[in-house]
Amino acid sequence: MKALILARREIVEQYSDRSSIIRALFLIALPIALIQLNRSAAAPPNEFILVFALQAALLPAATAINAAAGSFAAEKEAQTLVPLLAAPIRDIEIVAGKLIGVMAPAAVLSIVSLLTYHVAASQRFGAARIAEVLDPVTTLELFGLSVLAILSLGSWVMVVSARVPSQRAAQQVAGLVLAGVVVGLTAVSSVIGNISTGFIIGGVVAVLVSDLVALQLAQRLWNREEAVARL
Amino acid sequence: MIEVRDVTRRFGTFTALSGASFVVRSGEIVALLGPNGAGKTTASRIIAGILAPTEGEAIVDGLSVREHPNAVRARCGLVTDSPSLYERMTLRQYLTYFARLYDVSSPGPRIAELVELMALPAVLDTKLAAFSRGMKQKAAIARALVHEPPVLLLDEPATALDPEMTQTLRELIVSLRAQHRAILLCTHDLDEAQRISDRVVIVDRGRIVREGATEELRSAGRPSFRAELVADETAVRAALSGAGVTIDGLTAGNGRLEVRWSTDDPAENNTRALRALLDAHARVISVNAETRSLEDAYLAIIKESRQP
Repeated sequence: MKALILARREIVEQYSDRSSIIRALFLIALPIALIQLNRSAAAPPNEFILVFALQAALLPAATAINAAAGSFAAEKEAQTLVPLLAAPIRDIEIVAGKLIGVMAPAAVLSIVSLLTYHVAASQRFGAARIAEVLDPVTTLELFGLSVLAILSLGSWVMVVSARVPSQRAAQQVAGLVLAGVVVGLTAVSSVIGNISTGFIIGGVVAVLVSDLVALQLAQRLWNREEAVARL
Repeated sequence: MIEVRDVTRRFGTFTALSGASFVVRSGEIVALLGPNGAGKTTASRIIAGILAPTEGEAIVDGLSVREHPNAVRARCGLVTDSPSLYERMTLRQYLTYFARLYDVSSPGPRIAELVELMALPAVLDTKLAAFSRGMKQKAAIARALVHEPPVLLLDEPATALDPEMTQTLRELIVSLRAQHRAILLCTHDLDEAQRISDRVVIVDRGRIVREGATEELRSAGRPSFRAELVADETAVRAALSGAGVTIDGLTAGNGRLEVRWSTDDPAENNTRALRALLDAHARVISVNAETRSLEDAYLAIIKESRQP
């Protein structure tokens, strides 16, 4: 499967510099640090624990945003795209390889982040309470939501970054998307106790639709003709 | 091995290639010559299966680039003017990566063979970022050869290389011809084309304006001659004009005259010219046929093609 060969290179490329590793560690550590530093309530409400669990799951998606921004623009800038397009690989394999390369590390980071949060929260609020609030189903749902978000954000950033002229511009796009994620998370955190089930289902459907549209667009932009025309 | 049949490629309203047709056989180096923006890169990308022709057809090793683009890509090795490497990889990782993309069953021995050919075994485990420009270009050529393609497309491969590296590259290309590969060399370096190509295809503004064997193109056009004389300039002009010979150039220096003329009928016109010069009391030091370089031929062909 050539998509996996491409994905492997993408992952190695992303994590071959120290800043990526530091960024990933920081994103994992952030929600843990927040609950450890928050000493205002000895027994906080369940929503509080859930909000930070949501952040722990979703923040690693930020690594996908950065990686997606770099995947097309960096190759264009370094002119490494032509040899890749000259290889006997189908367009769909290129798109799949790029997406797997962007998604897989972010998904792994998300699950590691959730598990680390689980351990840290158990230590802070008691294992029994955390086992009740963050039961395996909830944890899995949070992880599923995170994967959908990674796919959606990664695909959209890839779509936009395919159309910008430089890696710097792509990183600026990534920065804007990241800011949007932070605003979205803050908004969700503030209303998490009052969100109805219908609203949650609607949100998940919206993310799914967004994923499908972004994937279609990404595939069109990674068509050889389109890609070469933009070199 | 490569057959380009009446290929046109448009990008929106811009026509990059218009009705181009040419052939490259196995064991042959064909230079696709032309100024910047002539359509050379577009032609090589169509043959490589990266771009589809808008009209016409390109056949590589018997396969249509339209119908079997992936199979065509598997049969071509493409080298561009920029090495275009993943610089965080070592040479071994880089070649292994492309060997896998090209379905090379056991990359190890092939990579060992290639690095030996390129004289790069000492840097096999060095990151590509540390390579010199020439070494990077060698790595790019090794990448293009990793799957032993029968067709090699070289798009300005010697750009920015020093003369020594250019010479090494030339020798390498010639050795690849000996392995019966069909090689298309896109270049605007006439010296390079003259030294190694068997045939030349000249392209200008997307159109093929001339095609032929390198020697054939050099010798095409009116033969020209140069005479070195000791004589009076006015008398020489009058004598040659009287003999019906049109002077292309006349320079004076160190008490000598150098006269150049061209003619379609040297046997008749040169005899008349010499007789007229001797009658005008000119002392003839030498008369030589001028050898036209590929550059002269190329410039004349491009000039001719641009005439309305």
